[in-house]
Amino acid sequence: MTNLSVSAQNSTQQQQQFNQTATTNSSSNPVVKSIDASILSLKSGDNANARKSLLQSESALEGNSKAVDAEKHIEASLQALKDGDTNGAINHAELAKKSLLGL
Amino acid sequence: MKVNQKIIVYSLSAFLVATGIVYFMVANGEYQDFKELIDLGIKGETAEKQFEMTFFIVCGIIYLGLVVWVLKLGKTKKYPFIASMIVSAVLIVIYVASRTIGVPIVGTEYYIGKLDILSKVFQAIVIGLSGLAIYDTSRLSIIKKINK
Repeated sequence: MTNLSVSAQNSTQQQQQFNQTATTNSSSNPVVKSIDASILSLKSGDNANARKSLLQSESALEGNSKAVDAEKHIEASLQALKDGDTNGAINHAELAKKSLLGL
Repeated sequence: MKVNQKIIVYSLSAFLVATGIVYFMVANGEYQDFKELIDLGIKGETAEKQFEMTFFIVCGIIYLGLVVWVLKLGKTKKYPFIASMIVSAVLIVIYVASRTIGVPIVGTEYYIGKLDILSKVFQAIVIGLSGLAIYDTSRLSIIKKINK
């Protein structure tokens, strides 16, 4: 099994966990944890891992109508990362997290 | 064709080509994202990426078509300039809408990229040069009529 397939499987599990926890306990939300991991990676300059975590978060939020705003911020973070704008990527990741925690 | 009009036509053509290239670059970026999303099994996003890729490729082709039209008929007719103006203005409006109120399929995007800014600057220049070309063409046709 490739790394990407494992990532996809993890994302599906994260999505299931997200649906269960989104309305109950935000701090244990796996997507928030994944976003946190991406922020840490961005701050440490590990852009490849940050991208991976952000894509996992995006995958986990896919199809969740309540989390459209967070998903859009994750997309913006990915775009900023692609543009080499690390601060922009961190800001949007933070906003995605904020949006999820506000649910 | 007067020297002034010639300069405007060639400058406009250069900016139309540049805008078309920027759109192809954006489409290529979307294609890379599309491939990555396919590998990750994110299906919902791939439909959006496919739409965006198609849209940007079509925009690039339209700009290259406008270059041919401007170079072919720009010496005598106003239509290629009017079309360049309308296409650029419509694309700027769509872009502003995609960053504010949202557009169908894509929704609202939160990030303004470097290539986005570059394409909007080029489109604003295209609008300005087209306006100048229309003014110049009208002026030349009036002079021609007076001389007759």
